[in-house]
Amino acid sequence: MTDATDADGTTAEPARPQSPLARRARAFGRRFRRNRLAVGGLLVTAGFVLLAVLAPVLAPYDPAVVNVPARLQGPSLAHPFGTDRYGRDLFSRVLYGARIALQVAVATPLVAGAVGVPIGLVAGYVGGRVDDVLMRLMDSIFAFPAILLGLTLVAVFGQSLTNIVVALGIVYIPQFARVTRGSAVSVVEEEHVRVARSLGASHARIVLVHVLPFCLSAILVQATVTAALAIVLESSLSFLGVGVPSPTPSWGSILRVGKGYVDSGEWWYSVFPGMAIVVAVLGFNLLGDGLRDVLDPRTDPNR
Amino acid sequence: MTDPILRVRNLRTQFGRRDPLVAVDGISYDLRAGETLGIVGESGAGKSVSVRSLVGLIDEGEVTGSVEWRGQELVGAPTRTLRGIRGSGIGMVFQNAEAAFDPIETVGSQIVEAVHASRDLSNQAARAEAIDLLEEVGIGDPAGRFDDYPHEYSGGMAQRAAIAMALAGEPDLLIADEPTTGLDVSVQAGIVDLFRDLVAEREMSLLLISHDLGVVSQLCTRIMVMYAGRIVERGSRRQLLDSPRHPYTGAFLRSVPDVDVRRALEPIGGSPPSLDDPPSGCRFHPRCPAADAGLCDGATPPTVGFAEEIDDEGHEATCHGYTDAHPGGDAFDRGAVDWVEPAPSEVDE
Amino acid sequence: MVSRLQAFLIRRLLWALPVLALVSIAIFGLIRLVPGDPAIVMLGADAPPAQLAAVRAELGLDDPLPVQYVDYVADAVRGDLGHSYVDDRAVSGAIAARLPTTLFLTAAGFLVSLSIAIPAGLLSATNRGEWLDGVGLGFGLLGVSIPNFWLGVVLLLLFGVHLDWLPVAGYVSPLDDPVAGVRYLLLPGITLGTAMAAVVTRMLRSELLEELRREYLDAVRMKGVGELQVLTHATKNAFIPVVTVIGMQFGYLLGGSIVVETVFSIPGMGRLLIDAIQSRDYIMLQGVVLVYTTFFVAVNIAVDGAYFYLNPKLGGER
Repeated sequence: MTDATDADGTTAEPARPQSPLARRARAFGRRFRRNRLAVGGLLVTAGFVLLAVLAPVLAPYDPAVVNVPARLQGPSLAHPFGTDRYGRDLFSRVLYGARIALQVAVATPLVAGAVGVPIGLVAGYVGGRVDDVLMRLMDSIFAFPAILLGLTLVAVFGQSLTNIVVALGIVYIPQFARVTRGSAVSVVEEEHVRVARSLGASHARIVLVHVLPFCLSAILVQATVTAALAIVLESSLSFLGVGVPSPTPSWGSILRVGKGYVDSGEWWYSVFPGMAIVVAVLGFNLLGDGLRDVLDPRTDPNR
Repeated sequence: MTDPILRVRNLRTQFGRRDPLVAVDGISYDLRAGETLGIVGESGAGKSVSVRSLVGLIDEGEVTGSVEWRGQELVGAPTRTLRGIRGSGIGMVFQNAEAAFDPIETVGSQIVEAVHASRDLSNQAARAEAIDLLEEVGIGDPAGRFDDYPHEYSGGMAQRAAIAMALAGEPDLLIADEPTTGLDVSVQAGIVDLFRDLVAEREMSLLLISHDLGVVSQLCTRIMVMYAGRIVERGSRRQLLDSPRHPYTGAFLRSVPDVDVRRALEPIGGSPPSLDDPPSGCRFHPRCPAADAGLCDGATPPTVGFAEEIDDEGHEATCHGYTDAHPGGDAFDRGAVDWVEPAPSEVDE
Repeated sequence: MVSRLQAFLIRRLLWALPVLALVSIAIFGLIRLVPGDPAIVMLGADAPPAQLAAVRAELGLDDPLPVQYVDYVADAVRGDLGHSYVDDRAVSGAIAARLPTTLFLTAAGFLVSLSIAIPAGLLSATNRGEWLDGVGLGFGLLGVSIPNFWLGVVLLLLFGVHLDWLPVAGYVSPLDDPVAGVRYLLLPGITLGTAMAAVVTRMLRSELLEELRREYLDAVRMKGVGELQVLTHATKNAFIPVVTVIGMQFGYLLGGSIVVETVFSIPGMGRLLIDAIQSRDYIMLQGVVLVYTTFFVAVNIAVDGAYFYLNPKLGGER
């Protein structure tokens, strides 16, 4: 890119980067900023991530320290979310719970995508019987109620954060596979892929360079959706007692104990951790909805 | 001369608030009982929108002007009034089966629905009436076909059924919006004949929209030519075909095949204007071979009336070419001009 | 002569069999993968050797895997899902006792969900852009963001404890006492049905909005009928793809019922499942999961059949 020169020899402003990727990235940025759902979702999600990461700094109390005399106290200035049955500050515990949720929200899509995306790419690219068989397999898993699948897998693997993340990841593999395959199938038909093939590019190269980039937007949206679902699923499993083992303060396990105090009036035990879940999940859902809008080629005036 | 049953004055339909797209830009015409009037023009000329505007089918746009059906004003009329006229006063035939029929109901039940809406008949009588209608439009085994779904009808048959449905209310005016487009040529002929017979037997008026000049000229005694939301020429069939006055009409005629005369097709250069930013002055000027720079791209053209020996109909065109301000040329037979009416002064928008 | 619908259902059944087989094999295999001796895992290392041996024989651990599997299937088809040594009872019997409860709960969730979703979807679509639509959309978004167990607890707190209008735990079969049955199923039903309602509402709204733009509705208007009739045409058409979504959502209902049973202490199959997991009762686990799966596949086939039936283009008869 040469700088434009004016008639009198002085250089004008350097020409803007014209690479298609840069252009698309900027167009994306603009559309994203204009979409309220996306921005809102990003803010909430970012807030959640921040709180989770900074929990050790922000938490007023050590979440594990027991303080029996202060047990089961309602919300107050000292304890905004009240205290639990051992006198531990619930606000701090909820903050630390966000760390678990964050790990789940990040790791599960990674695990699911690591397996699902390649499957989808292969199915979409190769097509034919392979596609059929793979998608049938995916559909069988996908057809399952997530909780049932999650429960069974955890029952077999055993309860630990790693095992749970793996189990959840397996549950969501089919979504990534389907979404990737869908995009891949539409791209495979296009000119540049056929041209690359005729020029003798290896299959791997074609898939990675030509097919995969087009699937990225759908994969991204799916990742946010999966993050939201994973948080809910993990809390459900913990609530049922089959999730992250104590003493780690997963929101679900706090709620599990809290349920026992429903009758006796300690409502804060059940309300605040649950609200945390709702906020975190809402953030991801908004972000996903917004991204879907922003990335939808039908609403893109530039395509 | 009897009063027209349909009086359209300055019908204007626009979409959007901030930068409105004007699909129909102030058209006026009359339709008398028993008359067959055709509206021709390219796709996007505003023909469909204009007839949908007549009966209140424009959902997301604004319709202004006046449409009088038998003296009753339709523009802005409450839905109840429109409902009363739809079906029993004015019927509409749409372009194809997908546009006319609900895909998950049988054809027969949908015709019965039309009968029930306009007439007070028992279920049995309505069903019998529907079967009669199917027979009238030329569908064999109408009783058997009654229970079929729209996708089980062939294109031509579906169109006949759609016509039957439009006739169910015994309307005085039948509007047909591109009824033959998309049908095989051989099937088209049958539909055209059907229309002709129906108009004669039922003494209906017919308002026919088409971009197919051949179909229009077979069925309509009067024709209007629309371009970019405006009527550029109108007159009797013979007047328009034998002595077209507006450059667009002439170009349009030369761009379609003529069965009788072997000649080269001359497509009209350029493409129809987008209506959100139409050309200034005469809308056709960018594509008009006789356009005069400075005149045609500035002022709205006047309406020019012609004295013709063919037919008793008035023959008008909206063109600068017949005025003195225009250099003229062979295309413009100034001798035929009877009167000139300047365009209404443009309202400042 | 077999009708088109029957032929379709038979084909779907044939598809379902491999799925069931796959699932049962998967569970079967997974349980065998558990490290250590399943018998010891189930009964504890200090259980009497005779019992351990009996469990091993029951699980067929000494036979080659395919043989074990075939035995299991053969028994299952006859209704025998094994014997749980942890609880000392027949699996089939335990499940049978609890199945109706879970079915009622699921049905309650289904009913609640559709009672909310259909009006909400209709109102949302016909009032597009206005506040009613916003409420519908907001409900849709919130509905999928609130975990059902938390919703259940909150409803419990509000209506059960604070207002004391409805029971907090337990279950009465509607067959025994309809009024009490409904009272016990109301909160659980709402809890279970809300998320599904949210999804179905969104789907119905978007399908209806698409449908309302279709041209044939103008043809309907041109007959001179009222807008209500026009809406009916559109809704019937829009509902067809929604039926598929409802079927898919049924999976959610089934999974959700497990959780809701825990929240409201309802003695259904869900509790059986959880208990089996926590006590490492793999034979019970096998049986319960198999029953859930069968049920789920059956409903899916039914929904597919309904879709086939409703859509004349696929050859259904109406």
